Amino acid sequence: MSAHSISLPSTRSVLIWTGLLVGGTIMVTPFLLALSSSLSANLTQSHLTLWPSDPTLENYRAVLHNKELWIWFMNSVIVSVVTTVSVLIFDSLAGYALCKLPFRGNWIVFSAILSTMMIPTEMLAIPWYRMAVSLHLFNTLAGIAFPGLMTGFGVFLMKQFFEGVPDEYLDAARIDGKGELAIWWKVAMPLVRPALAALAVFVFAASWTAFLWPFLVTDGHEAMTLPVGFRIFASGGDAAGQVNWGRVMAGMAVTTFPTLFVFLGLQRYLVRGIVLSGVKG
Amino acid sequence: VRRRVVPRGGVQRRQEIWGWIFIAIPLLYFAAVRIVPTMWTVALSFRSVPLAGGGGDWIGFANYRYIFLSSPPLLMVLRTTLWYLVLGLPTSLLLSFIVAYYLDQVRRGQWFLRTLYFVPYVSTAAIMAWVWRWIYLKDQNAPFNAVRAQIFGGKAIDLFRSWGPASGHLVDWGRLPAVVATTVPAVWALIGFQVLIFLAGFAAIPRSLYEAAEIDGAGRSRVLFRVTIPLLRPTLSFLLVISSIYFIRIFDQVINIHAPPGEPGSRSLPLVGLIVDKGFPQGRLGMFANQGVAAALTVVLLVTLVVVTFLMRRGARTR
Repeated sequence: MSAHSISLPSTRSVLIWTGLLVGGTIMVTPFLLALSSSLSANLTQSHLTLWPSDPTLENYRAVLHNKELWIWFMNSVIVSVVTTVSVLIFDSLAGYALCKLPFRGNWIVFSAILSTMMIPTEMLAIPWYRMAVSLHLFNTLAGIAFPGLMTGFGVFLMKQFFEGVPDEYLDAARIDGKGELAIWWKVAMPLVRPALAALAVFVFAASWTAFLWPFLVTDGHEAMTLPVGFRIFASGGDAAGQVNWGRVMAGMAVTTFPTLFVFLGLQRYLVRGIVLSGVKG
Repeated sequence: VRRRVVPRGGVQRRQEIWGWIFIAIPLLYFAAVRIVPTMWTVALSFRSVPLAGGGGDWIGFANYRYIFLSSPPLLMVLRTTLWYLVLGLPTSLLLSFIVAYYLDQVRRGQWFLRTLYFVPYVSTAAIMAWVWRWIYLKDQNAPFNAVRAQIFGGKAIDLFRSWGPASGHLVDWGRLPAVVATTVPAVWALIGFQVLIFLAGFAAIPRSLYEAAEIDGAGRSRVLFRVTIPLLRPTLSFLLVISSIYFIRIFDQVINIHAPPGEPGSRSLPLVGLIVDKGFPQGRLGMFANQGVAAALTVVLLVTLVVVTFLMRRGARTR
């Protein structure tokens, strides 16, 4: 198959395009179904419809006035932002020290940090839970955030990127009389900005979608993050115990789409982080 | 790892001290939050640790004996977890390979098409599980049942109800509908990720190899099986490992599609679900949970992950 035909796309490429479009449409169907039903008034289990007969924004009004949903949304924002900032600072600090300020035993330290990547969250959750209870971090945002403030993967990633920074730059800054902290922050950090961007998007997305640990460390509504609180919101029925699915779908749309579009816009960075690490959360 | 020789004295000595200052906080953090808790969990697995307090006694392998021998749930749950893996892994890899293979050949609008497949991956699994829960509702008008009725007719069915008593066979047919219905959203969410990794793998194959194959007169399928797939082995090995871990650790979808936890979805309960049940107040045992038992289960999880990772790596290498 040659690619010389510029005038008209070949039958084959039209077929491929159509096939991929059909598949892609199936992939986004759950979102489309959810959107259409979010426009139905009073959609309970007993009368479900695929397409609203008379569309209304009533569900969205109810969702926007739901205080808890916004508390959870803000909790998620706070936890994700704090986690991301902390990971960026400390993972690059460690990665920088491991390759640019070599100390005796740095290889052992690096191996120890790297080995933590193999241990799944579930295995650490029991000690974390006991720590959170005894340190009075249960049901707090600090309790949700503390296990994720640094990641072995981030240290590894930043170390790899700092290795691409020539030592001459750092030595030149030392001759200029700059302190080591200033050299790291003002000379080295700007040079690894692409890696920082990838790590930031990646960590934020992982933190935003995290469920297991936030679920285990909260039982009060006020400290929950969105994925955990959404259970309460979605399973809560009206006076008759009927779940209003239209309202659930509107809640999904309002809380999910803003970050979804941000993630899609930053796809390039997310992909880089994914390819470099292969794990999300 | 490139190691620099560290001579004594002078500037290097000063830098070494700064190195320790820089690493101090991260090192303490990793020790306190990752390394010590790992050993702590292993130690807990040999103790009785009731959530309600008290206990803490050394009981040797009693927790392990309990989860393997006197408690049928573990074997049932391991089998269910295996089912998520066996159903999800080949399905997701086959679908994403097909999508990526053709996406790679698309020149115009590739970003748009790719994004359609990528959307489920960046959505929050725990929240989208509620959309799937609604899709599966036992109702004539709910999406799944509406489509099913169009094709097969009949009354609305509940995928998550108990289809007969639990069986001891390797395939528990009564449990299969719930497991399949839970695997679908997990596969749906993973495909976008796999497509991206496959695309990166395709991009890494030198174009000259395709041109050489074309000159030799090799057909499209011959090129696919003789050039593309063999050269994709590293990508495939990576995806096999990552995707296996993903299906073995499945939880977000399960608990939200069948909330309240495990009811009536206990027959689709995966290993992580059992860990939550046995060791945390959010599980079905509530304050009667014993974290020693849960710790032993997480050790089983770690061993499972290590073994499967090893097998997948080997399998991909020797094939």
